[in-house]
Amino acid sequence: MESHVKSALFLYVFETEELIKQVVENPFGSHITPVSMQLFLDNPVHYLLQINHVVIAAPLHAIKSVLTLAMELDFSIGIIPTSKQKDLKNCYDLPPKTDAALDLALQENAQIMDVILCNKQLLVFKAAIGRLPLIDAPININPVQAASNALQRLIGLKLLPFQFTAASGKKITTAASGCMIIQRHERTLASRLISHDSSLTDGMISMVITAPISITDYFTFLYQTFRCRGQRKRIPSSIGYIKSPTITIETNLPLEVAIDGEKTTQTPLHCETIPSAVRVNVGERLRQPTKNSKESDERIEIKSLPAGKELVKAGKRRIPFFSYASEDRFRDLFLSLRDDAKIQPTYLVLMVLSTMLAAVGLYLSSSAVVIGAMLLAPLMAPIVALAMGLLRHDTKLSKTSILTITVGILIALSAASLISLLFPHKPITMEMQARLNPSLLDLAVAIVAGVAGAYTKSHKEILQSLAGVSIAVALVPPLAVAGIGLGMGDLAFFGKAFLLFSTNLIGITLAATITFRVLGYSPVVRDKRGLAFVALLLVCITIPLYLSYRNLVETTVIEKNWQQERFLINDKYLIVQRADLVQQREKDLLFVRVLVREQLTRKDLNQLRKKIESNFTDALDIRVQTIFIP
Amino acid sequence: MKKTAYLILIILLLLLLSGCSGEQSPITPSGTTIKVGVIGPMSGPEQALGEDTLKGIQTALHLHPYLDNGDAIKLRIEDDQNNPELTLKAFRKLVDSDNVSAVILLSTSASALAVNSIADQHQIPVLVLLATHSDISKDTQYVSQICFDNTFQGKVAALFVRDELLLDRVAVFNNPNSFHSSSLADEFIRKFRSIEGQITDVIPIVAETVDYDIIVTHLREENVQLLYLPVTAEDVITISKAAEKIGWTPEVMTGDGLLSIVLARHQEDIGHLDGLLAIDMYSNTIEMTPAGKKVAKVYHSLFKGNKSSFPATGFEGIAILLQAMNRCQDPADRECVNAMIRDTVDFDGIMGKITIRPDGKTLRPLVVNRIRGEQMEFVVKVY
Repeated sequence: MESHVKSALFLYVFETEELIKQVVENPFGSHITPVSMQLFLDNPVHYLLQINHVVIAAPLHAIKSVLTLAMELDFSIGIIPTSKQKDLKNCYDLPPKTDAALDLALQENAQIMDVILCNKQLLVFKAAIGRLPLIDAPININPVQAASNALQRLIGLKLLPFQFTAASGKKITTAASGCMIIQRHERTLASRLISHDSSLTDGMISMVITAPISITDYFTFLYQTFRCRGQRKRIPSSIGYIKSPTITIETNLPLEVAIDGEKTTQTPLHCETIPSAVRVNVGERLRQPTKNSKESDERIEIKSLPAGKELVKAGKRRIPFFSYASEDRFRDLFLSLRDDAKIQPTYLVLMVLSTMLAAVGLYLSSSAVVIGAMLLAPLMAPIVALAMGLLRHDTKLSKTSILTITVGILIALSAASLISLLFPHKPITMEMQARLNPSLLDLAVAIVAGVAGAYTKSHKEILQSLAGVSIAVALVPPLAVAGIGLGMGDLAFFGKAFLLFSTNLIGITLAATITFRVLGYSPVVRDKRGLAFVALLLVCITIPLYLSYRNLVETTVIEKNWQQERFLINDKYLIVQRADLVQQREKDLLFVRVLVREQLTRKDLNQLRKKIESNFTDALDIRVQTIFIP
Repeated sequence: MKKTAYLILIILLLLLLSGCSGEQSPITPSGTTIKVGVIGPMSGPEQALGEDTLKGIQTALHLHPYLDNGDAIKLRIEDDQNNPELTLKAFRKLVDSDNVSAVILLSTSASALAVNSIADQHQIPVLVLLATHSDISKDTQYVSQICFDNTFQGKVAALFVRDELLLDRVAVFNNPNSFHSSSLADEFIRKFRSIEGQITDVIPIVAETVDYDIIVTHLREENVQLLYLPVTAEDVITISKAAEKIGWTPEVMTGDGLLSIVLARHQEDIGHLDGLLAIDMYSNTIEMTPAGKKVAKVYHSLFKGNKSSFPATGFEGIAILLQAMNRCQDPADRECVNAMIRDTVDFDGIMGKITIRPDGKTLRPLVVNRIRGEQMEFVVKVY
């Protein structure tokens, strides 16, 4: 059972006069002296001679004035919020109904609280500077409204240079879209992003800094904000968090500061905490023992904020679509890529082994052996490194990768040629044939594999999937086929297989470059030359691939249609069961298998050949297999 | 460096544009007109046949109004109501009075056979577009056919039924008064029997043939597996309805041009043809040749909503004639034009190549379709 104060002042304004009777006739036995707010503010000492508890029902600015007086005159405060003062209710956990609010307001055990002053102005809820992507919105905001607000705030969004100084003297120079100092944040979206380690009595100021460096980052941040229901273990990307007894915010140009929703001051902004400055009757949820401010440590989490070279880009223009990053941000990944790009003994050995295995597998026409060779092949790593080098215009990384890839190619061609020379019998197996007709479909495989490769490389936890990517794109088998072609001295053979390898190489590089860009690995100062170079190569390689693809489609259509072709030759009915159109030494060769119920003479076959030939524009060789059906 | 790059780009674009431009240079009209006679049923029961085919001819002339030498082509159209007597009358008028350089005949076999008897007297090239009787180009140097003939069609039908459908009991309906029907039925029967097929019944459709219910009931009891119907569209519908009535669903195969006639005259009965095998020169599900696609586009822009295949034949007929005329120094030279017609090799038709032999017969693929709704679905193509 809570005890209530024996006497109290009731400060009202015109809008809350109607509460006087209810407050005066309260059921808790408290003696109430109603005083208009204006009279009280004119001479507060006069009214506080015998009374040290004040109940107030007034607008926020009046409450702030009373809180300021309470710091000087040491009286406790009870608040009766109006129905419109939702922020106030949330901030002090006040009951929504007047009866309950009056009960709380008249209780004796007021909570000691810190007060935050920003440029000498009292802050009750929050102070906002710049543009904030929704973190100041209430937790129960309608998602549609939130999305609409988020889009509006995105228009023309840019990062501005900020300098924050904490109480410890640590200066943080960064770029941000805005920042928000929060007194109590449980019921804002910000509460989903930072842990609830602040209290009314810890002598600290909590500040959230928002710095989405790209549009994708902005939406990622919004997604994280809405998706996260509980508290986060770590600060999300594009958010910084500072907790300190004092915080000074400086900007290049003065920015307006909205304290509790009103723009009343500008940067530079100096905020300080006055520990245990006032006593306010707050709801049960906020009641806590007084903490020594020294018990709370200063906390600065700014890893996600732009720093170093990244600041060069921030503030100049609107945020770009894709994120960018300095090398420091992804140090581990870059170290790994630099290792991948180098020629190492293991790389050389694996190249030789995988190519030899592939060549033998190709001769055996054994898919299992060829797949084994794909798994052994180490070529994917320098290609992914090359993609990153091109994206970041890292000449050293690009050159190293290109050298490694070139050495790998030469080793593979030599090893496969050697194997080819060692075999006296040189059959062209189905496994080889399959790698002699690259088309746009192969390019599609390479592009998807490139995306997968880059994505896998940038996520350590799924790195084991890189083996699957290697199988999908199969870099070494086409090289081995090309090497076999060289060994046989057949340059057309070599050219076709090498086109497939080039397709894979260029497709993977371009796709990986773009994927790294989408994933936010662009350099701070972008250079499009690398990407443009690969794109140009892609365009060049697309032409033969397109022609090859068109040829493939035409062949497939012809083969399919020919299964419905029939011939009436000298009254003999020939049913085409199967037709295969292949290219052999620059000439089309049509294999036709026909079913026939009567014996065919040479004359019949000649007529059949003529009829078939009349259906093709170009000259072609025809092979007919007749199957006699009795 | 940039300037050089731009220059190379512009040169490449120009080369590309010049390569893309496949349009021929425009023909300057010479002022001379070459008259071509067209005889067909423009009125009467077969009116749709004549009119639809004529639309194909008009499409071709829309695309090529002049010969290569600039001579204009003018059509002289005569209506014969598909009546051989009127056909002969129209033929004489065109040749003697109008002095046409060639005649295109859209009428059926009876009219074509009538023209066959006098074409050589007048020494004028005649192109028969739709008639398939095997004797149309027989014993004449001037009549050529665009369609495959009934000998080919009948044989293919018989072999298809025996070798692909693997059926051996067939009943054949024929119309003894129709040259087309009787010749096709005879050809089918002859071939089918020669390959050990069994013709269970040959049912002549004459004026006295009225009770189809009894006929089809009898055929079902005889365990007939396929009905071969080289008869009119009206008769096919009647027989199909009778079979449906007794709940009998044998395979049915019909002669050429069936669906186009039904679409023109009996659209309400199209459902009774569903699943029938129909021989034709075209199919709705075979990809057209590039030339065919171009023609179809122009045709559909000129004539909306027509699903008949007759316009395709009309186009092919006049296009072969124009090609022959273009190969002659004097397009009005009947002898030369006739010789060139009979020397047509691998002409790009709507759905394949067409060759006209020196004897006036055509080598072109025949298509076996299955009728589905208002479409002919491709089954096999026979060369």
